[in-house]
Amino acid sequence: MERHFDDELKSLHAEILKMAALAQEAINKSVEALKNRDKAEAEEVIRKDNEIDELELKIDEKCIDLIARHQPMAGDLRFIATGMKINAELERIADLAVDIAERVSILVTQPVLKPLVDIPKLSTIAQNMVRGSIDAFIKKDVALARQVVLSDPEADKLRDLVQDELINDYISRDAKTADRAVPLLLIARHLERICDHATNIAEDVIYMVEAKVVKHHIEELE
Amino acid sequence: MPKIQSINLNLWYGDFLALKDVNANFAEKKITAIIGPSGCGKSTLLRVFNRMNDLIEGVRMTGEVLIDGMDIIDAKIDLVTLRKKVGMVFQRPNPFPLSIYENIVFGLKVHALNKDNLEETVKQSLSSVLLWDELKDKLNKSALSLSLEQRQRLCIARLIAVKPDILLMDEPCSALDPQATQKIEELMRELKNNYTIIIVTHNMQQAARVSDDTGFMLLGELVEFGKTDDIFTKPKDKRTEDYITGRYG
Repeated sequence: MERHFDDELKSLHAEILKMAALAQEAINKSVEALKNRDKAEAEEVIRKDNEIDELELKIDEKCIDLIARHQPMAGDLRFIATGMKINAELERIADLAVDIAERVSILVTQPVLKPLVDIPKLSTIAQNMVRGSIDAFIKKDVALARQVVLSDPEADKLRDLVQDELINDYISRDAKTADRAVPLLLIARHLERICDHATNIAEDVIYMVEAKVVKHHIEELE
Repeated sequence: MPKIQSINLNLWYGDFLALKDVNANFAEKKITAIIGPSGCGKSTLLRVFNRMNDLIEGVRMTGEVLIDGMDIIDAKIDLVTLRKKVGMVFQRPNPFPLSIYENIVFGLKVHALNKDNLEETVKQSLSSVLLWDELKDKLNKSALSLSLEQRQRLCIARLIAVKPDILLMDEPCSALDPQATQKIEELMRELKNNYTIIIVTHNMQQAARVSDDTGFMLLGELVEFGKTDDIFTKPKDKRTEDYITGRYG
């Protein structure tokens, strides 16, 4: 039986997808700005963040409104609860993209410290994980969500590699490189945090579809 | 051991099979809600537990229903004793057109129970439904002068006076406004410390709010039975999901 409530859920779904598209665009642009040392692109990411913040509030309000008016149960309740959580994760992802863009704005004013090797690899993992988690949400694809969760340790490893290299090969040897090394180090941390948020989204998708809590229980996925 | 066990229970009204092979365990001192669309058999199941269906002509049952391990479907069971142990609250509060005091002591007379300390029994029964402070100076007033919510509480107090173990509640709040409903729900939470409660309700939010366990019935079948938290967030059966999300029909 088709319900009026279904139209409202579809509209919430569409808003979350819009939020996901904006967050993905923010990461992609901040990563491009880093690769191309493009200050204008970095500034665009910072400027567009307001739109994402406003959409976050709108989605939150919509979820609370749906809960208050419809008292959803079962699958509907899990969808709305997950929607609220994903909304917050996407907003944090967009904030981290802004953090990256801000570091890029500083880096472009200074000479290149070193050719970037591992950071682009990490950014590719982050972009893939975010895309994967959102695809999993759209398709209710638990297998894809599992893949996303299981790829998080690779991101942690790369972040550690970047961190070790910048500290041991640059900052410890020559403190004057810190101005350029620290922003890169922070960018690696931001990218790794983006992967953590993508992991959270994927875990939320598993809960939404299967009503199974895998958060903090990675062994449940093996 | 569960307070009530229903084992392969079938019930017919004439040729119509109203309960189909119902198996469930009802936990002691918990609230169990039975939900389902109209005509699904939930009130019929409730009335099995104090054999109220016996009043309907042509009723036939097979299977077992054990209360404290004793089969109450057995023809030799003493129905008066059973109904003292298993009290029932109905949709519309139905106090007798007597004083508040007489309503409470009525059951003691019917069951020929010890009538010493009637005042104490009245006080305890009204206190247990949180009415004593409100009514202690009006005990001789007619029960019909009370509000609907007070009448429903009084009907529960009237049951409690005969010291039952189990309270069956058939849509106990359907005639009450939201505020009165909330008060009865609070009372149910208090009462479950001492009684096993089974409530039939159309109001799913009410079932979700007050019960520990929930059973979903459809066309005489107990489709799903489990922890209320699970039934309302992750039901296993699609029919349960469809019903509680309003897709049934």
